Amino acid sequence: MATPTITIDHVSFNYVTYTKQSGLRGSWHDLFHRQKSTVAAVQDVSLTVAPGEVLGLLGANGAGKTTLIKLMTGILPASAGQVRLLDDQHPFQKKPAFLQRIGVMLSQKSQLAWDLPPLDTLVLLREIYHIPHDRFDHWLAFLTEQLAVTEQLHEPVRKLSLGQRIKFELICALIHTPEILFLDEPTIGIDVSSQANIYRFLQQLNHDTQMTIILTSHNTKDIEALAQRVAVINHGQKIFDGTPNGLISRYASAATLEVVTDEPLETLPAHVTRVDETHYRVDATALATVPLDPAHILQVHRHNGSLDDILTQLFSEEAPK
Amino acid sequence: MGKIYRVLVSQSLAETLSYRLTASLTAIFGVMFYLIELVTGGVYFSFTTSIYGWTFLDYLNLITTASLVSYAYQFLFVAAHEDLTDQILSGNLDYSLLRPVNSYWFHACYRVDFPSLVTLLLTAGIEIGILLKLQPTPLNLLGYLLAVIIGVAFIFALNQIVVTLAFWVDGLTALNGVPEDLMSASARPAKIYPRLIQQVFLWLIPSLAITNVPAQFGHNHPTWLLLWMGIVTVALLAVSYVEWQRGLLKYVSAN
Amino acid sequence: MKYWQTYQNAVTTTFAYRGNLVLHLLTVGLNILMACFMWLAVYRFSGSDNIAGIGANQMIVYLIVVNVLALIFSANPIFTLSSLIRSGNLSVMLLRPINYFRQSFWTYLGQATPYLVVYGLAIGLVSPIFHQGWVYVLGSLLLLGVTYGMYFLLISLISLTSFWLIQVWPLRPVLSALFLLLGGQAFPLQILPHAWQWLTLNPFALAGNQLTLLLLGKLSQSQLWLATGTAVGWLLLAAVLLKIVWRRGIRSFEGVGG
Repeated sequence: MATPTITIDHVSFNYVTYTKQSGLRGSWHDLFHRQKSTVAAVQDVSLTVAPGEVLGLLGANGAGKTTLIKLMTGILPASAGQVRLLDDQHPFQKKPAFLQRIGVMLSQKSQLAWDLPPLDTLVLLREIYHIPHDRFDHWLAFLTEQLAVTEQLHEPVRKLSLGQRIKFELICALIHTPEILFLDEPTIGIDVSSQANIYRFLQQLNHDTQMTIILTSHNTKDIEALAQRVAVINHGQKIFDGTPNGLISRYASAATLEVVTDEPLETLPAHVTRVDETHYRVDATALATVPLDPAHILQVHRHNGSLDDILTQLFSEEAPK
Repeated sequence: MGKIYRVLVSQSLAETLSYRLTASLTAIFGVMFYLIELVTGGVYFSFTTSIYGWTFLDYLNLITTASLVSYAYQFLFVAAHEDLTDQILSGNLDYSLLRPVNSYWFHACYRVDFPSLVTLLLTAGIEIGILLKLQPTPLNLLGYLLAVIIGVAFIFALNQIVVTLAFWVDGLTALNGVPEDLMSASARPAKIYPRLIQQVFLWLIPSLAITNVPAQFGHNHPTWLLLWMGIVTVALLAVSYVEWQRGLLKYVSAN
Repeated sequence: MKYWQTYQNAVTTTFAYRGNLVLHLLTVGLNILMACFMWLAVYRFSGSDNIAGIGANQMIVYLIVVNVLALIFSANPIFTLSSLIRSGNLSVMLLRPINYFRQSFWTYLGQATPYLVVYGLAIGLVSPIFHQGWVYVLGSLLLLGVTYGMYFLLISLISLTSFWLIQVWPLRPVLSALFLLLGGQAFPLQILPHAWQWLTLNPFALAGNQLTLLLLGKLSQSQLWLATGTAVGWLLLAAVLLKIVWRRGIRSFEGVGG
């Protein structure tokens, strides 16, 4: 294996919160004796990412995946352990040469100027990242065409739809052709066709340029569409690292199959129970083949076999001690 | 940085043009308050020809210079400071940390306020007329210009310090108006104030020096206070820079 | 009484943002200080202790009081109504069994209460009003009440422009400029030449200039009645216009909202 693009070595991140007391007396008390408590947002996580890999970070809200992204991009300093990106040992120092090589898109934050067309923000980024004019024009034309937003380039941002805005946020993150792209919840709140457009584009980008992509999402469709590898973060700890299918085969209940048929079965074979009219559950422990006529089967999948099911199950579990 | 600033200025202009009505109203109000100052000054001097050695023309020079300094600050920085307050309060600074530019200067220069340019040019025009009458020597004129520049930097530093406090204090919106009020209360001859107030605002927080020193150079009364103003301003700029770095640390850890 | 709660809420809110309140008072104090010292210098160099019938000490009281009055006569109802209209929440307000303007009045009173207490104390403690006989005292109270109501109706009337204007923030600097110049906040209007004396009867001057002179005991009986009469006139005018314009405004609001 080539030298990893990203190496995270036993990294932890703690932050301090203060508990507030209520009322005037409480505020007065807080002024002098505040109740400190340390929260571990990320605990002893190790991870490597190879060049050109697409890694999905999965986790519930507050699981620590955004914190992990912020540690990698150098927004936050690690409390313990080492983060190494490209050949930079200290992302937190934010050396310009390092920042030139990464692109970041954060959900719920915007870098587009609200009253101006997206082009203006992009021109500003061109100057910030010292992008030669001809390269900028070429690359921008390509990006807007791929994401189907060429016409919106000159419209004020406040008049764009959410999907178009997100696409321009993505273009902002890509305009300086970074080697590593970080996407935090890239498709939150946008419609299915825009999502599909973004997936197709990112896959092609990864294929053509070998750009390393790290994305977080709680939308499992993002992960299924893009990620070659997933890491699951729960309560600040990494609980799984492997392929999406590996995740499914690890956690899905192997012994039970869900089968949907095109019409109701007249007789129920052994080990098959009816869920509703055309939906059956097959207990596979005792069987070598599915005891149903393949001509009538619409769908077969493992019980608890979708990523959504698995994640719901995983994230509802208690924090590992 | 020069190229980036050019882009930022042209974006500010584009924004101003998309809010033409607001922009023209802001310009009109700027002129209006300057005129009220003028009328009030006229009333003062209708009862006496000189106050602590300041004639009406000297007084005019003082309030016009004070307006000039304020409007120059407003033109160059006020829109950026308003934007920065919003960005801090809405927690939208992450991208600033990720760009390979100095975030302090980037945010300080993020926008210029074109409506203030109208009032700035107007007061500059009037001030040129006043200076032509007052006839400062070339050296004093140089002192005047230097004092004006230091004044703009002083108001910038004061506002930057107050705006950046939003990293730690929230809900204290009235704080942002304090520098402006301080400067407008300082647009009077220092000598009208009791000795203690004079000392505090000439030396400790030299807001009175910022308005009085250039005016004094204008009517050929040079003063070494200029040097002190410069030192304090540099110190305040340094404080605001350190405060910004600390604020960013606080910002990322509070996320 | 159903508006009592409204009043209480307004008072409580004012004190909840006490940090802002203190800073606000501080800057007002700064402005008063500046105006006072400037006038003291003017007195000193003019060589006379009487400018348009006002002595140096009285001028200081004048400046303090007129600035407190500027706080009492705020323009807040304009921005409240505007945000109700912009957010569409006005329809919700209209469904409640209350009169919008009565409620607004109690809020207005609640927000001004801290300053009204200061003004009241000043009248009670330092004003020579009470040495001038009960007719004058009653007249003064009448002038106070009428002027307060008049100014509230005037501001409410101006607030109705929110039905048609998209942005109302420019009204704030305009009103504070009007109060500065026409209300006598920058200088007492008495010092203007005689030909300009009619200015003292404009609504802003009644609220600022005249109420301050009243506290100083500088209003003669006839001036008192003139001021009260004019205030009643402005009050009636504002009330009538308010009624007419409110009806039109509501129609245009429902036309848009419907």
